[in-house]
Amino acid sequence: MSHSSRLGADSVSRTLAHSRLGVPSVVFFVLSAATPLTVVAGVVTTGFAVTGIIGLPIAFVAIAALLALFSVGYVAMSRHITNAGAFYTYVTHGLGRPAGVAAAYMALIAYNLLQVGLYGIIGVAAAPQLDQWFGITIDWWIIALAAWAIVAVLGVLRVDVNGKVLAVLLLSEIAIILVYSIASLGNPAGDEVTFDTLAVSNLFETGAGAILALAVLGFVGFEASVVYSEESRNPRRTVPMATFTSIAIVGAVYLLASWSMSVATGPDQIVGFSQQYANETIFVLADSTLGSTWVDIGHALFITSVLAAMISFHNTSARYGFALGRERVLPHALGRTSPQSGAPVVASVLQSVFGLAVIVIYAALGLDPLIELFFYLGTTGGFGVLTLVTLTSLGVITFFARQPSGENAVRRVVAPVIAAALLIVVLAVALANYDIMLGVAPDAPQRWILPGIFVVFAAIGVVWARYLKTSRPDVYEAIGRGANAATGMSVVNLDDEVGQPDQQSIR
Amino acid sequence: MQLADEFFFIIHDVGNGKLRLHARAAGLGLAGALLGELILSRNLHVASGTLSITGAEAPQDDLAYRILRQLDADQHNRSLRTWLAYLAQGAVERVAVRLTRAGEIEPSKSRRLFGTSVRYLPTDPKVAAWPADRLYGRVGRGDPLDFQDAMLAGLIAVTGFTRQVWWDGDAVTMRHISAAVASLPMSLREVLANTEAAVGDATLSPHK
Repeated sequence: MSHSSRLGADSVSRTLAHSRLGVPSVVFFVLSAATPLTVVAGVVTTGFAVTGIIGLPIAFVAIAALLALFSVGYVAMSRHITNAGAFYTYVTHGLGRPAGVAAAYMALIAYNLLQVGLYGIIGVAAAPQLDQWFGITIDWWIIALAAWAIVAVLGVLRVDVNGKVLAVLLLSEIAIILVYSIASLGNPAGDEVTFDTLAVSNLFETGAGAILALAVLGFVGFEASVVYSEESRNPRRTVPMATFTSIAIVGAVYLLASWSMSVATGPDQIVGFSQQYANETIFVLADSTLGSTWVDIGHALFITSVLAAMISFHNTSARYGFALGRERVLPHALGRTSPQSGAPVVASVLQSVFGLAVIVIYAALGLDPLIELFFYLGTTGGFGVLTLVTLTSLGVITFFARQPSGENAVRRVVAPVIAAALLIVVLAVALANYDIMLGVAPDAPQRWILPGIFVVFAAIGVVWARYLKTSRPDVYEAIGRGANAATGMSVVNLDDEVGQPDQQSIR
Repeated sequence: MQLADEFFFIIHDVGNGKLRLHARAAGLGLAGALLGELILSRNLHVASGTLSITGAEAPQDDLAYRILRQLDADQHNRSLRTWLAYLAQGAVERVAVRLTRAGEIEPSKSRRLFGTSVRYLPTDPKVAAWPADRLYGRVGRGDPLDFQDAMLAGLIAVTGFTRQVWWDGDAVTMRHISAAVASLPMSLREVLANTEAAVGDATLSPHK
């Protein structure tokens, strides 16, 4: 066995390193789920229209800075725990298992809301296009059902949209946003480039909570960078760099797009303009400066962008359900995969059932697909992610207080404490301004019902955690380790032999 | 027949030679089986996710011998998880080569639109069907399983292939498998637990 020099040392490391990810790859994986055109054409315009507030561009800057600050501690903690991609893991390790299970349930519903909200916008985005290109008129919910069928089938087959296709889509979306933005800046209203929407004072006016929560919605997905920790070339450098780069790119694109829209219409007109043209706003602006070819390209990319976002959020939701099923925080059946594809089939089907139910209910009740489906559920999902980020920031502080793990004071204490304090403030004003975010009266029931969903799910989580603690202590102990830790939950129980004499001849 | 050969036959269609399990789980399951062979031959020992070589007499089988030599040469990496990931990459092909040399299978390449696909047609379908049939029967009758059969059942379970073998399996079947796995030596159970974790990880990683 000693004549092994010919093989060379470390061939394992070299072979595995060959497939390891650098900063650009991780950034692409993170951004591929960002689908910027969905945010710019859907969220930004509807946001102006519904809230009636012009400060969205500066809110993107503020939230980008805040999430970057949060990420300092978040990325540092990711190096010391397994199952790093999921917020509830951090909450579990930092604030305890009941809080962790509560966070898990909140996350599951948040990602599901983000996904099903998109069925509203695909309907309104594609309907005028189908009319214009093929001369057919179709109700939004028929288009939504068609999109739903595509998502449901791809989810079960585990056909993630190919990484290269996503990269091309992403770059095309960013390119068209840049073209539109430059055209808008080149044709400002009243021949004057204005900076009103970028004034920091917007962040201190009534309704600031609404635009800050809206801005968070644009960044959802940034949290995924830490998933790639184990596969990255140098986790200590690759993952933080990729996280900050992703946040910076997304923030810059949204800042430019939303600001340039307000320049083209004039800051005093952007709200009225968005109310009139809704999700067509940026295309109407582009039509006046660039002509119809550029608008057609933009329209086509808008539809593919929403479809990509749907598939991506469907897979995120399904994987979340899968991870929780494996841990038995949710029924174990959710942890089942398809042998042929490795897809988390049960979790995927359940997500699709939820989507179908929402589409059917909205169609049956005749609710508005853009405002009441896309915007309400999307913003509520974004608010849920904001809540999870806040809980995670608290988890980071308590985790490092108990075990410093060799990280420096800035990563352990300074950045997490400032981030947590600011996040709590943002969360509080967002809740206080929920009526403004939805564009409803201060005493409208939705403004409490929608954020209240998370309270209900958190309560179910806490009750479930207490049940597990008394009746399934083994499951309770394993909470937060995730499907990728060697917990051995299915047929293998590694704890079986503890305290028993070894009777086997080989060990 | 060796553990990895049996697992290979179970996850391939006897009739058309196609893989019935998704590629990443198949690779990881075979990697677990190859390490399992070395544990069964007492060349390898696992504790707390770390491998150690026992120094026992090297195995006769060429593939097992090569892997053992590789483990011995690369002293920097002692992590079971790392070796599973590494061995998983070429496991299907390596076990196929062993079976081809033994005359058990005949690889047939066919051109497709993108690249080629390989099928591994068994020379004797009865031989290829035997591992699954034997395991199905023993578990169904409630017979005690030896280490190799228990490990095989465990690998089937952790790669999510249980329903493909015990298509009509009920709770009693599953309990019997669990009990057999629980009686395995710790080294083998660690391989199973880590294989399961790696398969779960593959489902969670979006780009794989």
